[in-house]
Amino acid sequence: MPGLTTGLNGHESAEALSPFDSMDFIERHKVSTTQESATSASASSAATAVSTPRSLRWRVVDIAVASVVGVVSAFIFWAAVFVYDFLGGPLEGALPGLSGLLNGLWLFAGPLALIIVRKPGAAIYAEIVASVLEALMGNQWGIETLYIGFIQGLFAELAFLFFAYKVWNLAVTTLSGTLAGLGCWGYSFFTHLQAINWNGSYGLANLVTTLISGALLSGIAMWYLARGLGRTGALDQFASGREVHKA
Amino acid sequence: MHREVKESMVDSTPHAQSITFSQWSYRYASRSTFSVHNFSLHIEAGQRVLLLGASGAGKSTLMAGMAGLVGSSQAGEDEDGGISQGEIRIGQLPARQAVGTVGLILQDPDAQAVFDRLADNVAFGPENLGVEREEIWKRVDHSLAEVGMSSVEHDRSILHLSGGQMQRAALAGALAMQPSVLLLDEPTANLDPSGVQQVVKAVHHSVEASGATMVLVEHRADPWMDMLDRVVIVARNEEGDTCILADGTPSAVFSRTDIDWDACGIWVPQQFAASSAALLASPTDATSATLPVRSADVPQAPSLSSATSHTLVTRAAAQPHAILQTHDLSIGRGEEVYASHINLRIYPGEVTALVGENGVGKSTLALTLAGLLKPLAGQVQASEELRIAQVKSKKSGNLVPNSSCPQEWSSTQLAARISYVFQNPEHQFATNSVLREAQLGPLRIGMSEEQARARAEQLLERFGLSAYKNANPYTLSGGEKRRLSVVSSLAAAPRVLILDEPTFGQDKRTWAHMVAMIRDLAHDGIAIVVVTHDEDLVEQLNARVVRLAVEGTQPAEPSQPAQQAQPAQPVEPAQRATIAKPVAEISVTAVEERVEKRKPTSPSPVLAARNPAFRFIAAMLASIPLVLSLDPVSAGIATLAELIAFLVIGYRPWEIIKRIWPLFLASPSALVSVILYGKVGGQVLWQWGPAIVSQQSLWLAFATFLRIFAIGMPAIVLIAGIDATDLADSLSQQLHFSDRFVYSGLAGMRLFSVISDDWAALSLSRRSRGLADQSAVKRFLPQCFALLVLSIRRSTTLAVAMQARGFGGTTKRTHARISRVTGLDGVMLAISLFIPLASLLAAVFAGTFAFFGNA
Repeated sequence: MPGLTTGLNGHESAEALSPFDSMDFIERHKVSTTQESATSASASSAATAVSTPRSLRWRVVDIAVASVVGVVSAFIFWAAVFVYDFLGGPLEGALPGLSGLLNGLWLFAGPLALIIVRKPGAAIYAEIVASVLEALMGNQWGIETLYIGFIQGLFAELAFLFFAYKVWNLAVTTLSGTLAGLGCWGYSFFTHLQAINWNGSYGLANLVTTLISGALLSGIAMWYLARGLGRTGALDQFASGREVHKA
Repeated sequence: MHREVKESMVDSTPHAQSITFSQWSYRYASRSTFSVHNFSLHIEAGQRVLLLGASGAGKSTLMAGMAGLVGSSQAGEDEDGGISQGEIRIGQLPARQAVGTVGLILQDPDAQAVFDRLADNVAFGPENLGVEREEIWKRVDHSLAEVGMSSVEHDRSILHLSGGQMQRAALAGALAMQPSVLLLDEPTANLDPSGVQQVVKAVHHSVEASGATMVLVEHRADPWMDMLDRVVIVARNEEGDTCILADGTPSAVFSRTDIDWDACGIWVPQQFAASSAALLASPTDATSATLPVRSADVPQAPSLSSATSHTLVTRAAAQPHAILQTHDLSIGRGEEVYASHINLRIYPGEVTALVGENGVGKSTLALTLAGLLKPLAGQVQASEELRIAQVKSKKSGNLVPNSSCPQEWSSTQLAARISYVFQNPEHQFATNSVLREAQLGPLRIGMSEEQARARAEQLLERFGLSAYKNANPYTLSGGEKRRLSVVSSLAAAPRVLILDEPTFGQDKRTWAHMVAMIRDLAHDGIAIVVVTHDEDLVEQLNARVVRLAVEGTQPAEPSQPAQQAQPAQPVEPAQRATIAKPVAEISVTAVEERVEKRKPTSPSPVLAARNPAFRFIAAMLASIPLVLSLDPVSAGIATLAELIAFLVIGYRPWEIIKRIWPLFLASPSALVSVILYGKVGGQVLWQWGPAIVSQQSLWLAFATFLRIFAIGMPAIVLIAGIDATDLADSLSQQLHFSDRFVYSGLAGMRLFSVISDDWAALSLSRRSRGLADQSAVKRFLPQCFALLVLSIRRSTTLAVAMQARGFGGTTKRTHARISRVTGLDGVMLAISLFIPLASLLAAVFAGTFAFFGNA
């Protein structure tokens, strides 16, 4: 069975296997020990805490915001289908594989959620919320969006994982978007584009354009989007927002 | 029966608890100063306290502290990075550990619902507290009865509840936790008068019954006076400490004359209002230059007349022609007609108030007048004069010819003539600075950069916003946002300004600013339409009232019989009486009382009865194995077998097609790609550049085409129609996913309908602001940004509401609803796996099996 299902069934077998729960447990532990030492926290220590992630444990507000990023993304993914229908053909006509430039329109939920809430798993979680919602609404692909969503989220996550969820900047976000593109491309050629050689001219053109699209639309653009959101004050409950907005 | 339930509950109701602040301080992580500092207060168990204070005095922070949502048990940082000092105790327990003994009701009814169905929302709190299932449903029935909603079906979608009902449902949700302290943070600010009555009555009744301690923050205390024991006013003193300005019984506090009530933002209850009677009682001439309600910090800047001399109209009396009128107009949304035969006239310099209960169609009428919704019949006609208020075409510099119907105007034409101020200012923001917001309209209608800037600065100055020129609009306070949304609507110098609930959620002070602002504009000759429930506003503006009422119901206040006899007859300004204002009536068709049944989750009764998570798994099992081989045999057999299976369990052919139609769009494009670029083999039939059509690429294309259906059909049909709540229950109970993630995700998904409405409002506001003529790409991205901001705000509020119901704590949750799995679910999985495996096997025997497309 492909790796996709095992990833999902992992939740099923036991609670301890759920990545979210085990993370919760470890972090709860951490928080309780740090709290004792932080009893005398002064105003100055809080000022430094603004830029460093304090805890990897998910708060309710983290989950709520990651969820809503997924929900809004599902809404935009749905609109993006029309863009694809409109532009996909001409792009393919210009250069076979060029339609990969549009793939970034479906990749941004993961990087965006992750750089806002800064919790491990946020990219996967937001992608899954988006794809479950899409599937329930009855979109083009049904449950298939769940597989590709999971893969894209996973790849977006990898970039930040390499840096142990400690580095939050434009470069890593760009890498995250690019990797999401890689996941998207890999999934396509693994499944519905099996009939096309992944290393032929079409496959490679599609790879390059998808990576570019991922880097631009799901990486760089999301970084600036998150900064913009931060400036509105809507992200005041997040370190990512407080870096750009201090009232 | 009701009585029995109640008696059985009495024993289990915990006693009311006291609340004690001991030198408590809190600073949000995003702030550089403490929102509350060194605050001490004791509230006896069972007391009912009204908490007052100027905006910025820290009321909301105090409420959040009592609810255990901010601050930590010990001094130091909480998980949000905020700093707290001192402590709050609920009874003997630190507030942070008292979750579940404190119920909190927030201002926005929409923001407090997690589930789609009414009763599920009420059950949510007890679930989080780990209450046994049977007890939960007892409490649900009891709480719904307490708030007078026992007649509403449990399965009623909250989308079909009125604002008052939603807020009562939120109250029921809090009561079901059997709190010993009830916190109400402006619970009626967003409600119409009947909603306010409903909520006050429900709170009164439930607090009487439970004896819980109650703390209320509210600007309009009048309806609550009967039930209050104590009034506490908080303020900041010179040392920056949060202190108590006044504390005592309502009569002792409200009769004090040394308190600046306006600064506190409160409407002094009528029985004590003698001192401020001058403010509310005398209807001032709308054209008077000196306005008693004008507050000191709204500068009396030069009037608009210099900038709009070409549009200036001195007073209504001198201008007898309607600027906008309707002829036999029918309004509604989609196909549904709300009201017909509306004949209405709007005059320059006059304020027209559209009043009526929530949901009767006031906003629909206003949006139709504003040229944002299409009249269903009849017409909205703009006067010649309004049409002259021109927009220069950027290319030719000529005047653009135009129709008399605002709905047919271009977005920029509209912006220069009729502007609509949305209830939520954030629906209108389109730029990232206050100045740009104000400049946007003028620039859109073709003013030069300098002119636009001058105009914007003048308006910002006039409405007290110039200090924030470079600020991000979203970071302004509520009252400032509201003023900015009016400024940005005005900047393109429209002749008609329509405001939707301009005073919703405002405190007395920002309310007074708004009244002063609207009066000034009317004085400048702008025709004003306000959609409102606010009787004080109508009175202060001396507005002409147009009431929308359901046919056959009596209006709330008696109106002149002559007017009632001729519904919707426009009232000439000359007839206006100063005190007893004539009221025009518009009859509205009654909204059908809905009786809701649960919709089956599939046309097939067999499938509808399956466990939702197992349907997900079945869809995976049926689709994933087919990826192994790309050949027409396995894909063809699987498609056929799936079709037969769906027909057997009760789908009709068209029901399948209805669900999978997108596949018919997707498959041809894949077909073409593979034909042209697919793996080459056998005879080459055609070649052009990189495109090579060969025997093998045709074969693979055929296989790809078929397999899209083989994979897509079960993936879509098995899933379509699943209820999100049922799925969440099943993921939690059967698959043991983390409740925190499952139910937060569910709550996020429920926001989808709210978000869709936001998107619609954003689109309308962009048309009203002259932005809709831009290219789709230019429009789309900023609108997505605005949608994200709104959604994130909604979700952070939702997180607060969920935590206030005890969600996310360490208690093991229970489940009010049972998610069941039966043997048939196993059978479904088996069949779902059997079909693709058998198809693959058939391909092996046929010799067509092609592992991942490699023959």
